[in-house]
Amino acid sequence: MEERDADAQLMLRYAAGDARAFEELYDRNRSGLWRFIRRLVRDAGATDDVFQECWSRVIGSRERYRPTARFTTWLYRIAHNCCMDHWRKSGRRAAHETTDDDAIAAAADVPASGPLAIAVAGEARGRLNLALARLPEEQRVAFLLYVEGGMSVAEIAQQTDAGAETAKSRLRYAVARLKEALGDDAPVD
Amino acid sequence: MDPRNDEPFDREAWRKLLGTDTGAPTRDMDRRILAESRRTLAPRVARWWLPASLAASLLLAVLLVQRQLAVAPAPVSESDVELPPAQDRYYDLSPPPAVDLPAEGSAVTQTPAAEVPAARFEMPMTLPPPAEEAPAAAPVVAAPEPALQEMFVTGSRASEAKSAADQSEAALAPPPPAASAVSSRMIGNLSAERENATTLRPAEEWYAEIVKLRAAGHAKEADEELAQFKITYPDWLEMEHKKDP
Repeated sequence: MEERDADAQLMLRYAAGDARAFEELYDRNRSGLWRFIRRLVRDAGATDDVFQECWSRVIGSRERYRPTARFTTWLYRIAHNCCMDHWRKSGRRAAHETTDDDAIAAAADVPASGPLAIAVAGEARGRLNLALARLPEEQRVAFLLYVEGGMSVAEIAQQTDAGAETAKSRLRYAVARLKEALGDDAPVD
Repeated sequence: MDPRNDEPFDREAWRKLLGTDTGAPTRDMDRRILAESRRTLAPRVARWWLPASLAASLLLAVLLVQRQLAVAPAPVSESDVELPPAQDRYYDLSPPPAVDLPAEGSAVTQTPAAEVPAARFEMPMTLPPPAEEAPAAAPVVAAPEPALQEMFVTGSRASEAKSAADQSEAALAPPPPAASAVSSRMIGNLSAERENATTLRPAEEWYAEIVKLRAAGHAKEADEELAQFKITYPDWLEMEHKKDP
């Protein structure tokens, strides 16, 4: 919490005209945000576009920023909106679970076949990324907003325009599927 | 599952499992984003310059326009300048032929008519008393003058004129043969003068000639001249009669 509060302070300093504050803020959040977008969009080429668009909105909103919530919550809310805009522009919305292993593997940056693919797939992380790519979009969004974005169930509900119980159900189903894919490698609650 | 409603499961464990090897933004991407963040801050300092410069430019333009309108004279239109018509202007530029016309027509324009009123009013005053002319009435030409004077003189001189008129009656007798030549010459002169329509003789002189014609026995010519005289000077005879009732 203190670390997240620090992000809010950096953003306020940047809003006041401190360019170095933004540099530090960007360095603290760039990787996690990129991974979040990468796993949500499932398109390597579109990830950079969405990522840059997201930070452009952050920069443009610096004067209107008010620390009413955690900075990461605000940042990942912007990122999710950028992903939805991307889906809307591309006319593609993978709302349902896909069974195309090649597409899923490509989205998860996991080799589809070959000895290396098998070795990678044997690792928990690889299996987790594949399982994550196979999740329905609503569940995947909820899971990533919760894990990567650090949002609460209420914040996820607000961001996805869903009720709190719906958001909780989506998280529950997402974790269940991921645990099924990981087996014994699944984290223990 | 986390028993708290707001924490369905341990996010940190799953975050560690997801790892960080999915990828990261490139350094070029980092440079672009940081440059944009700095570029957004730069115009903020000088943002006020833009409206200030626009306002100054607008004010300068307005002042220049006003100055131009104040310095430049109003365009002169033809209606502002009273110019004569083009035809008259051309006429004015060239040597007016009218300059020559008065010289040529001076003999015509210098009509005796201008002198008629003066002569008409001067003659009674300049006329010598008929008594003085009586001794010199020997020439036939001078003979009718006493008769003419009889019509000019006022009542105070009526008696004197009368005596002169008596003397002139004798002059009205059939003229001697020498007088006919003179009267013929007079007729010729009168005819020539009549042909010249622009010439206007004094009334007194003209009437005297009419009297001479009649005295010479040329009643017809005298009547014709008298008719012309009455047309030219319709009121002259009446006024003379009033002077000498």
